[in-house]
Amino acid sequence: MWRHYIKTAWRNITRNRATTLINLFGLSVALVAFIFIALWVQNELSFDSYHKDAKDILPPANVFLKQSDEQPMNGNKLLYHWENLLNKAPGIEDGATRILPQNFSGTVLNIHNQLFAEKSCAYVDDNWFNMFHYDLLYGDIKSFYANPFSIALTESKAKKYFGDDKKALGQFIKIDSNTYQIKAILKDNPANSSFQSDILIPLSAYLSNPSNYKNDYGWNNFNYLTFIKISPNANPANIERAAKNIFAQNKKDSTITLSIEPLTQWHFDNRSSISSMIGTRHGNRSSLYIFSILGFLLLFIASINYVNLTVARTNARTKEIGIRKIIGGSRMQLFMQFLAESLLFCSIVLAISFIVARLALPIFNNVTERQFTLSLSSLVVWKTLLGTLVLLVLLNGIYPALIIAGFNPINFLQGKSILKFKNVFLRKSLVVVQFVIAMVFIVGALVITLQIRYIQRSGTSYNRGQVVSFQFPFQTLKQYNYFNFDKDKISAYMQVIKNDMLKNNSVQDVELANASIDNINSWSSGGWDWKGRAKDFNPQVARFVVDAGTKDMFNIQLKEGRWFRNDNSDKHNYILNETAVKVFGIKEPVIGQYFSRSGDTGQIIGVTKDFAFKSMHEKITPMAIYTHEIKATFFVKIAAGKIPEAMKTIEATWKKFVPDAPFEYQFMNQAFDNLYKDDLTVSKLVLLFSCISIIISALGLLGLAAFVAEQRTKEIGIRKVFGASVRGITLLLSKDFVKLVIIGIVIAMPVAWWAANKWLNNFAYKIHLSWWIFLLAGILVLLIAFLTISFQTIRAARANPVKSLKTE
Amino acid sequence: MIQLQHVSKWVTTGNVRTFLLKDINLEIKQGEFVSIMGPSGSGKSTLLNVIGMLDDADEGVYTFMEDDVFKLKEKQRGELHKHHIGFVFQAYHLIDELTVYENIETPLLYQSIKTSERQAIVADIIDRFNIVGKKDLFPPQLSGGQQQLVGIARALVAKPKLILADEPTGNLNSKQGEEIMQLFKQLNEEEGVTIVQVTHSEKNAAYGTRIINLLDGRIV
Repeated sequence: MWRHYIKTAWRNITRNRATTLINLFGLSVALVAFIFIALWVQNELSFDSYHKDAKDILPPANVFLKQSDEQPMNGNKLLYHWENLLNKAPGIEDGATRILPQNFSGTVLNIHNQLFAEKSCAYVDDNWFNMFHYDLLYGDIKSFYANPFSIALTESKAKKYFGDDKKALGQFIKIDSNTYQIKAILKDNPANSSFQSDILIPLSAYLSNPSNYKNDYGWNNFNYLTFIKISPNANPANIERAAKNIFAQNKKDSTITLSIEPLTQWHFDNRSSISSMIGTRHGNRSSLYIFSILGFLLLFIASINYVNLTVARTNARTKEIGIRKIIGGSRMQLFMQFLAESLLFCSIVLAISFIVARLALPIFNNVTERQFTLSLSSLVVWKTLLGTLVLLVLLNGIYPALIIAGFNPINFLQGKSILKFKNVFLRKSLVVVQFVIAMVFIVGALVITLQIRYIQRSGTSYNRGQVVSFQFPFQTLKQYNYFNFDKDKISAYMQVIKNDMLKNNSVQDVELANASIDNINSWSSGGWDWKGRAKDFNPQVARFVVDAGTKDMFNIQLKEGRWFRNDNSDKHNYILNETAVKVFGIKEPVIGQYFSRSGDTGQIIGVTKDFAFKSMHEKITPMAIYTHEIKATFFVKIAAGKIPEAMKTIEATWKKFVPDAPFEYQFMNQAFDNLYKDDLTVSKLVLLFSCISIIISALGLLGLAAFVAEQRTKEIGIRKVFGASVRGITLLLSKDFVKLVIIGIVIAMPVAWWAANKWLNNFAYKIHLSWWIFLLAGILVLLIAFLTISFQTIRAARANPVKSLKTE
Repeated sequence: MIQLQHVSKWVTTGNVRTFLLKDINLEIKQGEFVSIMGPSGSGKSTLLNVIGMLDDADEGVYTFMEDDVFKLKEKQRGELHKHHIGFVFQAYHLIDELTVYENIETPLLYQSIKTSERQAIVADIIDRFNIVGKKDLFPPQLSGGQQQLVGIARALVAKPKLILADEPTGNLNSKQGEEIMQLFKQLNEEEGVTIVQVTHSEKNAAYGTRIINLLDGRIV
């Protein structure tokens, strides 16, 4: 019986090529998107849960300055002294473990005299591998800890540096003046791990340097991450309270607070920026939900096509169904037959989608910057696939099968077809739903595109593609002992480097600053003073330390006053941004007023127009610009069309002045995109999804229009015989559909408005949601729908009436 | 075998009741070969559909092999119909997506007959109807006469006691028609299959053992 079902199903699928292709395409595309989303969601939800007893491992993750919860500190040092805690709060079972990540500055590896900058190094203490799960490939952990100067590294790094993961074992890597031996090769960190450090070194190696030890063994260092493991029945609240007390007693000079939470929830806690220390990003629950919904919506609209077209097709199969019933097929048997057909079809769709997903996985990994795998040997993949199949069959198969099973064969003998009026209403509603979704997607894509464009135009406007930046390493500065922190000496030294680059005419301009103008993340509160400041008013002030030429390079616009002169005369003077003037409450005339920073006193010589110097998610805050401070980030403006030549020049300069570190640089447009990486990813995905949804909806409409045209062949024939024009008939046929699409658009408006508003609320600075966005989207949808329908209707209208009437 | 008592069927348009069948009293015994005749719209096909349990009547009693058909549940009626009645149509009504072999096999599939037995039965009937060479073709590849042969083979494959044929030769030329009628006659005489056919043709009606004339839904 099943063989019979499958055989018939297969013949039907292959016979109706147009319908099959529409369905295959729509469902497969939607399913590929769905599989990716499922992978991502599954991965997010399982973060860090693979460690044994993960829920009992508590990272005291958040150390906040009480003054402002918006400015979390990087990491914490408190439980470095976790022994103190043990006595106060029982329940800490396996003690604690620490990691000292080195992501921020990067580590220079010397391998066979070749230099590599490695950003994923970390020092770990003796308990690390007990607490966290790692898969060991070669070597062993015991010998890793036996000698402090050991390294454990992941297989992909081993392959990168030594060509072969097995051969890397026992090799040597030089870091600074110490030589380390590779003692263990680990499997790569899973995509759902918060710890993405690839190179691990025993902490004892780091602390064997007395100055490191002295610097770190106190309460003022926040570079460590500490994790404690509690026994299952211990009360985390007690431990948190005890930890807070210890901290308060030992670090009396600060108002820092602390909280702890299970490791498994750490991933979604994006209040802290600890993540940047260990190479992973925190997850965002709301985007997780949004994308889950998007995935289901896509699958849903593709399924609507399938249901609509299958039900429409059953009309053509009235004869087959009628006969089957007459020759003895029962309701159940027919139901099963059509369900089997859906099952077969959905399995094909699933297989195609899986293959496409496998092929497209590298692209997806690239966009999400994760390392997902889609292997048939994975149980999770099978679970996801089977779950999807069941969902698909339920969505797609049940309704058509029910309609078919209930068909009374006498209707067939009397020349009536299966579909009755009530089915038409349902199918029309489904089309409306499809277009509601498509419309929402398109409004979404428009709003996101406009917002991104707004962002790109709201910083200072300069040609980011022609400016490259690199940082003079602090390690190298250290060698000169910071020139005894003499700003003038350092500045003179930097000037020498600047001039060295300027010798080549491919380099137009070189300026120094403390940070990129697009992302000034240096700030301080306290120490600032101006006329009229209340004693206890210590707002945060962003610091932008610049060269005099910076204004022209970044095209900074002044509102009033003047810029710094290119000599030493403005050494103690300041320029503020508009917000600073407002927040500080400085009264007119602003120019010439007293301004001071930690006793370095001068006057305000200018005020800039406000520009976004941080991500647009954040509000523009007060900023002070000045010149006389250490700055070590170079910005090089390259003459048009001379990028390769200029890069050669810059690198040569680098080698001359910084021989012991590899040259690393970034173009400003890349850095800028990096700042909005998540937004750009979202915008790309939504754009992609809206294209998919509109294509699927249009395909559905096409199929339905074809079906209606076929159903009304006789009517069209008669109308033509009685003199109706092609135009008249085209309009007649299109009218109904256009009505549906318009209904869909109208329903979509408030939904789209709500969703767009919700998303825009993530930004401190956003576009205004004007009516024309919705109008444009509506017209676009209508146009696409109309073109799709006309394709069918015109064909139907032009058909020869004699033919159609004869076949009736 | 078949007993209809005061069977009527009608449609109501507005307040007007139009009778499709009016007060039909009819008995058909096992082994009969009955021809139903009458002009277009006289209710021949409706009567046949009622007998074949595809359609209901509004009034009267229908007894089929001691079962009161109108009182049966859909499922029971389905069982009766599936096991005892075979249909032959003017337009053949083969399933175009299935081969000759599969068309004939399908009724047996619906009766859940085991594969080996099923294959034997189908092979046997294909042999008997002399269509072995055509068994892997699809219906549109056959001539009308051949299609009707397949239609009859399909109606017979489940060994029904009753064959209902609605103008079985209506789409065939006279030679093909004659062959089909010969076949019916042979089935009736040699195997004792009860046959009820609807026909326009006096000649075809003459193959049967009895003729029932219908006019405006009544037997005359």
